[in-house]
Amino acid sequence: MQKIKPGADLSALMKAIADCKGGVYFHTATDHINLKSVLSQYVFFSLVNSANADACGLECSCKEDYERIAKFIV
Amino acid sequence: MENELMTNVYVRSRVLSGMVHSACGLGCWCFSVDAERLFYSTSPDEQEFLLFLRSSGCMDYAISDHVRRDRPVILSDSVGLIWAAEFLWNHDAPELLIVLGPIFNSATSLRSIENSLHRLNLSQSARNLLLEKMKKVPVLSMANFGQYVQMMHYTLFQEEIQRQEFQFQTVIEDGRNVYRNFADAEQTDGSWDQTNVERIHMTEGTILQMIREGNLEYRNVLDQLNGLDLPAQFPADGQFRRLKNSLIIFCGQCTRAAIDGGMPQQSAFVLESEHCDRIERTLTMTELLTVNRRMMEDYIKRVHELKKRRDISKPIQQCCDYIKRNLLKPLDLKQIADNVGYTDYYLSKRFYREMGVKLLDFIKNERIDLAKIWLVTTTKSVDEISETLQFNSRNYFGKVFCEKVGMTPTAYRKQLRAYEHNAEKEGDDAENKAGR
Repeated sequence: MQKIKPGADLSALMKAIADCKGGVYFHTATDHINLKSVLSQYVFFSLVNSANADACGLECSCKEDYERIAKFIV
Repeated sequence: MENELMTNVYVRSRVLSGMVHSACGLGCWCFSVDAERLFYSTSPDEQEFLLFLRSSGCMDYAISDHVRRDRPVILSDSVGLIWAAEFLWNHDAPELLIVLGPIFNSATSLRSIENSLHRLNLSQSARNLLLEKMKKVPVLSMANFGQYVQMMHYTLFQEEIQRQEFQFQTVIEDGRNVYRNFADAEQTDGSWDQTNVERIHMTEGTILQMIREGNLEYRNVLDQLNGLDLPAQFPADGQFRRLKNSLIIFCGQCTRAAIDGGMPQQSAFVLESEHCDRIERTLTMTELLTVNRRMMEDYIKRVHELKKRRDISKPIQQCCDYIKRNLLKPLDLKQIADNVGYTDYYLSKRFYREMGVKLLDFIKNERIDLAKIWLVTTTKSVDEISETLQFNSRNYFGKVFCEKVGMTPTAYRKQLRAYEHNAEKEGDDAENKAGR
């Protein structure tokens, strides 16, 4: 699981995720959100600033997708 | 914003922002032309809604080459949020981008989102975070929202604009899936509102009749009905599958109306298949609006062309044109026959042979058609319409109207007024809900 860079452009991240081959998931302590659907993205936007940053991160089901989102993750 | 013109327009845009926000909580946003910089907004939860606007593809579309930059564009995402955007010009170049929104156009949109969130198996706190934000989105009918968009256009250009000049967002077919699918949005749960059903029925009837006639005046008539094309009158409650189904059924009705209007069955069914495919491929409300509008236009124009191309001799076409041009004047057989150089006996025989309807009945039909339009689009009294259309008495007009339309002129108008009343009521309800 990769942490999101502080101050990352989240709408640009979503565009990058749209180009990913596999699923991209945002994990918090309680939720696992597939960021491929618009509604899930909206939940993500609502959550990302309020969730505990240490417990949150992104996970790609396809390893090569990490390259596509590399500039947004730590 | 160095010159006086821009300062004035900028000030007016701020006034517009205050007005629409105070009226119904509608947000107004001011961006640079490339949408990179946000100058101000009156939206609650600005940061999140800005991300919604940008990530959904709506903003990309607003600043894309697909949009004419001197007209507003209506945008929507697959969750049901609706926006409108328009550029503010400084002489020859756009200087700012003004965005109104978001809105929902049905109170049940929120319930639909709530149900979809349930199916995402999220924690209660995660669901509530989004729902709390969505509850701040005002609920407006498309007709009301259209009025605010007209205000926006007037503020920016100081000129009036008709709603039929609005642009609607469609999917950019550049190979990229701009609008990702709304998770589980195809499942339905809500009840079908009876008022909406009646309104849809009324509007459908009017449109289908216009298809049968190949009547190119349909846009004006629709605009008078409630300002926007058909899908805006559907219960746009976020149940996108239901909307699609309704439109596919409507497409079938349009096909039958086109056949009634003279379109060969085979061509009509091919056309039906093409339009159904287009409907099925839509992903957003605005796309559905566009597809529907094009479908109606397509059917009406094709029937219109077919009617024009029918194997009718020039004298009879000339006769028809003469009648249509002179509907408001007294018309008699001899006068029409003189106009085309025939005897009245020969003209009536030939007219019936080519047109399949008696000449005097044709005149009545044309007058009744015009009466229907006037009843819908004007406040002329039934007496006035009767007199202007050369019916000898109101009673005779009523009798002929009943024969052709199946109801009295007053009942016809009453139905449409009830329709408009429902549209207004819906607007009032939406305002009340927006003020919650």
